[in-house]
Amino acid sequence: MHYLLEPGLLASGPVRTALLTGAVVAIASGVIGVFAVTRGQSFAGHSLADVAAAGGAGAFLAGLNQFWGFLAAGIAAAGLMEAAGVQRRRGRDVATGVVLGAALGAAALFLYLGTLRTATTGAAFTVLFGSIFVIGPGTVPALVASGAVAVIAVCLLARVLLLASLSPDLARARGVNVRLVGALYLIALAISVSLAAVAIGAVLSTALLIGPAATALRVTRTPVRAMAGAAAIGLAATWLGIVLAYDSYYWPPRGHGWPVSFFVVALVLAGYLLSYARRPRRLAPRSPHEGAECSPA
Amino acid sequence: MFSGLMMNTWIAASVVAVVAGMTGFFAVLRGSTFAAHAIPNGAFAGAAGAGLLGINVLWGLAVFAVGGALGIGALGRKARHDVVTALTLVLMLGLGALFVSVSSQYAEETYSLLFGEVFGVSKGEVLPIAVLGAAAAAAIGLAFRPLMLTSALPEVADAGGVSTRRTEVYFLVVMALATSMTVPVVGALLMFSLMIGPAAAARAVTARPGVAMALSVAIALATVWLSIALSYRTNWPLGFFVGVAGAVFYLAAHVRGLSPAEPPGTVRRHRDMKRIAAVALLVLAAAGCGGAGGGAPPEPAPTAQAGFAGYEWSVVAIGHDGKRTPIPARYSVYLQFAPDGRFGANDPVNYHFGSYRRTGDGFTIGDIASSLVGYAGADPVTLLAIGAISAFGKGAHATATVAGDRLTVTAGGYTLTCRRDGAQADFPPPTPT
Amino acid sequence: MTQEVTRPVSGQRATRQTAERAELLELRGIGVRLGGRQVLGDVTFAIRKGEFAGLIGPNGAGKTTLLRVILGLQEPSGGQVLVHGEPREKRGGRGKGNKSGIGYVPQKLVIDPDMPLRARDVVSLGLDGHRLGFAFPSRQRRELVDKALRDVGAEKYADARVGELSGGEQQRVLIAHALISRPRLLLLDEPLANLDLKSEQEIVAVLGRLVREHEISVLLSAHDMNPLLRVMDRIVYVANGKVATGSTDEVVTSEGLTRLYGHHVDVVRVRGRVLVVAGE
Repeated sequence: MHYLLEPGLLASGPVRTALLTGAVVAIASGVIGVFAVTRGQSFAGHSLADVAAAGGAGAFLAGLNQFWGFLAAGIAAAGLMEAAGVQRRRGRDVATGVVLGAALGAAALFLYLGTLRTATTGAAFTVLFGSIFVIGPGTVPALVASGAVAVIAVCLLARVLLLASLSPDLARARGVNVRLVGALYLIALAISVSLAAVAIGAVLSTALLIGPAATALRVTRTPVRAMAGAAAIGLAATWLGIVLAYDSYYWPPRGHGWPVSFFVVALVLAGYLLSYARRPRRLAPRSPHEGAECSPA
Repeated sequence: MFSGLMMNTWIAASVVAVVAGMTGFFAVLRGSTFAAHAIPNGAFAGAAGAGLLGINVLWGLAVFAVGGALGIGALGRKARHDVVTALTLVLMLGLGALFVSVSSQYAEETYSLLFGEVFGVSKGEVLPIAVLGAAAAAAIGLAFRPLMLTSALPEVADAGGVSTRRTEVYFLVVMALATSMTVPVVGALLMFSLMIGPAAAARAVTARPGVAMALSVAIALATVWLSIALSYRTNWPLGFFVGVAGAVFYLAAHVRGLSPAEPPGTVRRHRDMKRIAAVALLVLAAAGCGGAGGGAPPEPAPTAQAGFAGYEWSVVAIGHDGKRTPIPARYSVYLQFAPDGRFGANDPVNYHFGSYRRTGDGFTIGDIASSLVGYAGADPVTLLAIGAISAFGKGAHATATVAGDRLTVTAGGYTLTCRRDGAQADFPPPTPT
Repeated sequence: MTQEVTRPVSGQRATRQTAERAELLELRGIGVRLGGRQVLGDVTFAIRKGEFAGLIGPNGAGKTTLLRVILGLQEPSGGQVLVHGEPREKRGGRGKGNKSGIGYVPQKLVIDPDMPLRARDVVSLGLDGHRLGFAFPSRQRRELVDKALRDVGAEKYADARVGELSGGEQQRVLIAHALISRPRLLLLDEPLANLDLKSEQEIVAVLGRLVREHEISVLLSAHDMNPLLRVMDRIVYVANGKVATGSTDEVVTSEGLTRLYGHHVDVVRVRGRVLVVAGE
């Protein structure tokens, strides 16, 4: 344990901030991710993440905190997706992929222009790969508040979302405004993606969204347990990632440290693979709208 | 725009575009868009790893890209949509981030690997890229008919003795090679746009395979040329133009309404796409016009020179006696300014180490020592670089101006134009015990 | 030349109803336009309490459309839908769940194996799945869910993931889901499609038992009436945008269906089975 918890870990302000925001991010991503996977909207999450990258870069250019950029771009993209009806992956990889390429191109431009303006070069890395150790204390309340809003909204909508995922017609016949519920969920998804982008970067955020959720879904059977499980797994991966990143300062090359996002992604993948040890591989073929298809960029 | 350094880029980019167009045509036909996402991610990790190990980036790119291609080929179609593969791809990007952050090349490396770099092609890389390109193009040309057959009618192909599986692996390896060539120029994140965008656009316009492939190559070339020109003019990143151009061509092609078997309700979608395409074209035009206003590449407004401390600066050009000579990357001429006052300078032959002190308009060199390797050759660039660095002798004074990621240093009759390498770490060190 | 062996189909209730019993569901002159085309016109029929009605017709005839009109998911271009003699409120009543007393079992659900819902969770959603927040577990709720599962014979796999059940098992769970809110009318969209013969028979038996024991009415759509011949009290035959309703013997005749289809149709009865064949 001594090797894990290096001296000064909890005394460090940035680490405490990272642990707190990491917790918010992990819980939000886990809870919301469960629905993303079951509704087959993982690709939507990935698309939002790429647009968020452009937003974060834009915020950097404008001199604002990256989180606002992620959030604004994510919510705008969610609205556009809702209007265009591209919520589900319907074999439109090419179209969305090409448009996302434009979003990433815009991110490249904003990063470049911002670097010219401010003469700092770290932005490319933090927008794409996270900045959990350099979150300003002023941003923390906003992060916690948006995370809370997103989680509460999804918890309130949980049953309706499940019903609508089972059968939209059934939900409509019961008087549910399926369109509104779907839109609200997309916005919650955008918030969760923005939070994850702050923590581990825009292009890596999908790992926290689908990884813990997919792991939890493999080992639980009820919605409440799945949401709780996903949150717990995400939390474990994030906190352990933060601790390891802090420890890695003492690993080669000394004095530099490894990025948190790398640890988190590696741990999430490890967690998913571990779930295979508990539950044998299903024999039945997966259904067409398997929600986990996605790849960054 | 067509000077020596840029010529490498034009040549390499053209080769890249031809190969990307050909490969992309088949990728779209076979629905291998997943591989087109996945392989560049692995390539990024490989390139970053190569940078870390100090070996040629192309090797790292090729090894990881081909390895990834073989891995995807082994997994088979269904498994590609699995959570494991999705997470592994993200892990590749994470590994790349790790390698980049742990090596000394940091921000610049990340940026250019992911988004491309107009000056990213050194003279030494043009030949390998051209060779790789010729090989990839030949590979596709030779296998054109089996590729077409296995894409359109896989069962017929298998029955006729043309193994779909082997063709798939063959094609993926070709795509990996194409990726290795493309990533240094266009970047890992935008490679998808260059490969898939033109091909998808071509396919939307015509269904005839030969025409579609030729059109795909043509659009890719147009994309790359336009992007290089605009990037050179505006100093804006190459990846931006590639990404936007890819999207614009794609939307424009679909708006023509010639895509086969559109589901009902596409009228409204086409109208929306037209609007988006129009806006995007306007943005591109504005970018070109705004950036190009003034003709020559605009000089960004100079800012305070305090920005040079704490970084390493690669010398890209040296001005002397009224002549400006570009310095290719392989000469490895750079200056280092540590925040604690240590100074380092490297010329092609020797390394110099000492101290510096910031002044109002630049800096002054304190003590300085150097390795004592003699140079007996006659290469003009080497001689020029040695002369320039020797200007930083003990007590020498230099003026320094920072503009964005460019530093201009003048000392002893030499003017060095430098580009920033390396950056500060993105998290604070623990409190020392 | 067709051979008609007319044998009365068993399971038919007395069609003489007393005048004061109001129809449970009535459609008057319903028309539907889809994509600029008049898909259905002047559809009039009624379902009475405790009746088992089959909505039969070829694929694409408009059976699903008709069910959607009844549920309020599709606006008719004309006509009225009356529940208990009262015009049904628009859109099934926003947020009121099941005020109209109609339970719905939709068509062909593809449930992802990852869906974190057990069979009993799906049934529990039938109680108040349209409300916000979480359902508080209570003994009363659990008893209601257990009873519904028993009614359809699904208690054995109550705790299994719904995505891993077979087609027939899923169908039962969905029926329990619709049943738990005590509807007076159960609407099922092609429940027998994609089921093997044994499951088909089981589902029909379950539904027949529900009608008899719980006095609810059932309207289910199918393109083949044969599995339903024994239990159907009424047939609503949809073809060519029109509807003919009555007992099977009254409606399913060569003359009747020829009139309906608008081209020559033969009805062949062989050993208790009915075959509708397009003539030349």
